[in-house]
Amino acid sequence: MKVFTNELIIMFRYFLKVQTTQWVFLGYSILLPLLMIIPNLSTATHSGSTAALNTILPWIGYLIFSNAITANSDVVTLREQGYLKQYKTLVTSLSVFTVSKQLVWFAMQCVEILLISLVCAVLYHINIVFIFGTLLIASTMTYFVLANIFQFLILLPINAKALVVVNYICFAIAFFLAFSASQFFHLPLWSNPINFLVFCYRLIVSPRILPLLGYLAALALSVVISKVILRLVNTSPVERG
Amino acid sequence: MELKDYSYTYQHETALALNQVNYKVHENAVNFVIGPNGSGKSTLIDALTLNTRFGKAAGQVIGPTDNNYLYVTQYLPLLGTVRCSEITRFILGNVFLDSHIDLEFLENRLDERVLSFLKRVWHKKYNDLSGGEEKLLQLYLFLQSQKEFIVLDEPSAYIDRRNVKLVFDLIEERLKQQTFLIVTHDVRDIRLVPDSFVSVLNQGKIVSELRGQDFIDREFSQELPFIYDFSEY
Repeated sequence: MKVFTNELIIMFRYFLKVQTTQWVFLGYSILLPLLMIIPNLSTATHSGSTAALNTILPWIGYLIFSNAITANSDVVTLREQGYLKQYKTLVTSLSVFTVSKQLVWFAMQCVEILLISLVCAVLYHINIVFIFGTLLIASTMTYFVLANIFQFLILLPINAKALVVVNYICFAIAFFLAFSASQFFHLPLWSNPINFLVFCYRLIVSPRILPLLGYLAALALSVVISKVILRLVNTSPVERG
Repeated sequence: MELKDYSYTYQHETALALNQVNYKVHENAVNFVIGPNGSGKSTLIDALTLNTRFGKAAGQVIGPTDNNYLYVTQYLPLLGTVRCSEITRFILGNVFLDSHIDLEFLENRLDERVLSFLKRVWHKKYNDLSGGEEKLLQLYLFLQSQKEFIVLDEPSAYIDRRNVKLVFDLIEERLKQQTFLIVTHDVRDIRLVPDSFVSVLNQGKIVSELRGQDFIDREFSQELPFIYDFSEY
């Protein structure tokens, strides 16, 4: 475990630096999702803070979906460039590499959540500590389950060009889910996967034992799925080159 | 590590990328694989390291155990805007399992030549190095790995011959603990390691296997046309 942690810290530090030293990309990654959420925030200002939060939660869910997809797409990109083979052998297990990528996008997500919380606090006069704290915990709970499940992307035999298309399709589906979740409140929570964040958020605001057990089961299942996927992953590029 | 009667065909292709290859990696030695483009060198490495995918394979593979090998590609793109000290921390941090590596830490752990190179570039930004220096830095750092089996894909590309000699000196010094499989296009690399084992690969078949010294002795003899071609051009 100590070896894993050491390797993880080193990998995470380096890849975070890769992500944060490219200013244009950093701005794009953080601000674009925000620009999509802020109009929804401003249109919800007429209702109460609870209703407004209900409106924007699916969009934050969309953001988490996007980050979970991107964290795994990054791994596929490196695989297709032929470098995953080398990174895998530098550390003791491929999971060090995939988890470090997940953590990098989680760090980006924390910044996004902070900015959204700031906007919410200003618009709805909500306590910034409360809104940031609850959103952060809910997004953390959601992100790691999704990031584990989206590791199936690494299993897909797709080349770099196909990956772009798959990403667009995933983002489009997530966008549609976020849109429908924010428009059709009368539908049950389980009818839309993007509502997983709403589920986690409600779990924090008003904890109940049964939903909590449900969450823990989902988390455990995602870890098992991740482990199975990592056993099956082939680190060679799909395209012979 | 070994391939026994191993054949491999890529998906959607009919020609065999490897054709009934019998190949054994000699432990604690330098194993060169040389051959023209498309001869199957990368496929051979992928097969040995259990990294083939989707294709049709036949025969037996005895691969590495417990991920105990390091694969070093021709050139790994690294973040150019960071200093070489950061690159060192990234690669050697994983080797020494310490996230706080500095020159003092490395003082008694690295070969003098490697250390003096690192001291020279430590504060420089990675993209301020020349292409050859970047490659040299990567090789010097990756060669500190303690893994039993090291695969190097064209280690001498981009590097001047004086520094190639230093790299191979370093490799030879590590042969007591490690085994090297080196893919190369440059016969001059083989001249630096006469004790090595050389396999010539052509059209998915191993057409010749000999010791490094025999290779050097016969490279211009025209007995083996593949070797002659490599040496001549």
